[in-house]
Amino acid sequence: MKMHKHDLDLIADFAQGTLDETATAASLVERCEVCRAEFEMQRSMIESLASAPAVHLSEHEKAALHRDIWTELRSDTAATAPSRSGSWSIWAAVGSAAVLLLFVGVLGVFNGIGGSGDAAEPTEEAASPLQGGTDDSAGADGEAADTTTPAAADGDFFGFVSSQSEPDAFANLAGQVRERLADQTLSTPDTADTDEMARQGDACLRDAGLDDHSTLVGFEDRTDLLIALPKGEDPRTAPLTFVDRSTCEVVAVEE
Amino acid sequence: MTGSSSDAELITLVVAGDRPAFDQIMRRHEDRVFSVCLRILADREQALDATQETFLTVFRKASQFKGKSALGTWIYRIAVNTCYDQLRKAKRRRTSPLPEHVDPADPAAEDAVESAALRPELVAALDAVPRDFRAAVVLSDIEGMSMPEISEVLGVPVGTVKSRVFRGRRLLAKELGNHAGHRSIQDMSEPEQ
Repeated sequence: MKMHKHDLDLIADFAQGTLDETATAASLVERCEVCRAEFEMQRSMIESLASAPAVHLSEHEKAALHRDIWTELRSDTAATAPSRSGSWSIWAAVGSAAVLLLFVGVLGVFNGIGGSGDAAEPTEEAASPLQGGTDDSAGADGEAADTTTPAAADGDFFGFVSSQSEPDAFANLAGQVRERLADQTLSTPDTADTDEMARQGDACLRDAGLDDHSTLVGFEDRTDLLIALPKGEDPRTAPLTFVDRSTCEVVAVEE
Repeated sequence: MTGSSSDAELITLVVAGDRPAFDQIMRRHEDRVFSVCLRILADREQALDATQETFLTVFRKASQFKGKSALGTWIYRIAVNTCYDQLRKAKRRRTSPLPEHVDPADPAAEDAVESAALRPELVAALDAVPRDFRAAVVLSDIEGMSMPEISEVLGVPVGTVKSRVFRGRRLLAKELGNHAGHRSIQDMSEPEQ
């Protein structure tokens, strides 16, 4: 007697002990030799595995585990502390620049007021300081442009919406990914070697709600992350999404 | 915080920076996390590493836990993914086969040699079963998780879990040279739809 897919399902549930009504399955196992062999093999494996004694960590291992974890977490804190002060110094620098710009702006306004106050002066003369003022403000703009140049580069920073407080890190990472795409050391999975990785990545992406995305493979710098991009889009220009490989949560999305 | 605080209460405290709450979460789940890792990795030292890595991830990502599933399910999911990561890294750097028996990392601390919790041939057979099937079989038949629970841990539909468990047991039987039913297993490898 040949066994069908639904027979296998029935036998699987019967062996698992999850059937409410067992008569049909029992009858199948009774009259079909192949089905009986399958059922017995499944039961035998279940019993072998279920008889395994519970595994416990020893007290010594537990103590070592807790100690090592807290040591690691404390070093995390120590490592992030300077970056926090770093970010404060960045904000301090941004604040100073803003005050400076405000000052220059106010100065410019006063110069403007002063210029218009000298209405009796010839237009060209009036224009002269004004021109100078314009030059100054061009200088100031130059400075502003200088300060906005990195800000423009930083525009990439803010192109990322991240659930973590490190959008700049993701922007940098995206830059590295694109470089690697350009020199073709990164690709979407298409070889047998990467099938297993790709399947795991795909399962994670599905769970993250990114069914229409595929993962990039070959980027070993951050093995804790999956790099996803919309299927069918050019990897060099498509927006990247970073997914935490362990939790399958989206951690940053490029906008 | 009390010893009877729920997992949900504890993780909220952890996100707020409460370290004793995290210790309590670890105490609740460490044995099972270690057990899952040991069965998947078949190596005590690697399982200890994976357990440590799992709880580090739990702490670091605690704020990402949305409560859509039980905390335990989320933790076991992290554990399985951590083990997969270790297997991938081991595969990459492997120059010799993984040990076929469990090697206690700390023999002095072993009581009743828990590495022998599975018969060596069963450990070796499990190790030979492809990872996805192995994880499904371990979670179902050793850890006693329900199919919906495994589905959440592995991030695949219940139907896929059932299929992996079923086929995983077949592969395990084959590895164990379980000839009772071997012929029929071969016959049934491609059931008719």
